[in-house]
Amino acid sequence: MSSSWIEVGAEADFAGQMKVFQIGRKKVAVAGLDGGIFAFDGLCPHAFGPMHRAEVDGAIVTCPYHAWRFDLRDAGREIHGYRPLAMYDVKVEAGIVHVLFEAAASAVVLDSRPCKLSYVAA
Amino acid sequence: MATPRKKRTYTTAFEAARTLGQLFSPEGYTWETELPVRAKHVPLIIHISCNAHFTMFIAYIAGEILKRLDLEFVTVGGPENCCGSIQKNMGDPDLEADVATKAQLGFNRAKPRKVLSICPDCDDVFAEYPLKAASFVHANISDLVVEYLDALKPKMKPVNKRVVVHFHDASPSRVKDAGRVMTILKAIPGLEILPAQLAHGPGIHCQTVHPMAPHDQAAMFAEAKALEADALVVPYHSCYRQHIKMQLEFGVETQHYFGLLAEALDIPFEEPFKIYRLTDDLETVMGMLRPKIERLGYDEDLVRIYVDRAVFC
Repeated sequence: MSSSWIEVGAEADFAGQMKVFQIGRKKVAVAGLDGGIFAFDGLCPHAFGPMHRAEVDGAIVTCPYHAWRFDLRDAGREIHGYRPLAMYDVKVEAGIVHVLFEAAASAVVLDSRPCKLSYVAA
Repeated sequence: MATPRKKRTYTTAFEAARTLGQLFSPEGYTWETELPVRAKHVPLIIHISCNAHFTMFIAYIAGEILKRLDLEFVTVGGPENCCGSIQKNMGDPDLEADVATKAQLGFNRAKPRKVLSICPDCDDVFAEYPLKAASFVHANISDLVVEYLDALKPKMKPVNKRVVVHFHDASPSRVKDAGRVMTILKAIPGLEILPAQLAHGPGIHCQTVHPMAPHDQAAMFAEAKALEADALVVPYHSCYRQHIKMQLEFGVETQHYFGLLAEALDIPFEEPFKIYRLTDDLETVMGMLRPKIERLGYDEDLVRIYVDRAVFC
């Protein structure tokens, strides 16, 4: 199965925002944080908590279930040494963000109400 | 210098539990944060509720009691086993059910017959969202002691103290807890339970978000002092955290009932939370913790925030 670049939206739409998409059978979160755009598994590797409702501090996202914390600038490494968060390659072409996915698919944006106390770095 | 009060988030709440759980534990004391899928089957699980990580001696004593009874068990804790009440309190009630289910699925890996939590919030949440087809029943930690009380009684030595018993009765489960705690205390030889009138606590327990009103708290301790009580005995770790400081004014110690049980059963234990709170000075506490903070590689500035919030509440 060959990988495909999946279009998820305009770069400007992700500035300081996090959205979650259904791509194929996966939930994929895409966020504009800390000066970059990152795509990662929408479900926490621990207990499948909703990563699109993560707390954000710079490029560290914290799962609201049990506060596993992942550094998006370090390949999704969990800062306590637990299992990492899977990440996807991202490219921006002509102002459009694309995510490299395992197969051809379309991205459907899902409702991504943030946690009441979450915050996204500008 | 005032300690910066970092905004309370999942990060700070759970990191406080993780960090202070390690700092306030007896040396060498460990617990599981994630039971493996093919976990060894054990009959009992002691569940360290999130904020009970600040008072680890309770879980420690529970484990020592089970060892003395030659009962197999595992202690489970960490934010990974949160019941979901923190999500509800943080304003995300829609996450509570899934978090509660995930915790119970974790417990079920060990196929226990009983899971015992330290916090009454956990009792309520797991009762509201019970796991279907669970191998276990869930109960408050007091249930464990009552179940084995007849086996424990012959092992008890007298604890010659005069005590006032603090209690909550805002729900049927709290009434049951209060009954069990009284049953346990009455089984301790030498203990004199005093006829207090003002020891009733508000709500379901003395929560940090809903503490006992200061004037009611003072009246409770003033009465205990007038009755010449050696201690105010509390049923929950939260009440323990709220009331310890009153010893500074009234000279009456706050003891969790597990502490009295440990005295009766000759189980040595330490209460670092009490020691720290009674110093009444954050920087003194930080000095006491510094060697362990450095050994464990923690950020001292973050630990200061956690200690300030958890201990000096």
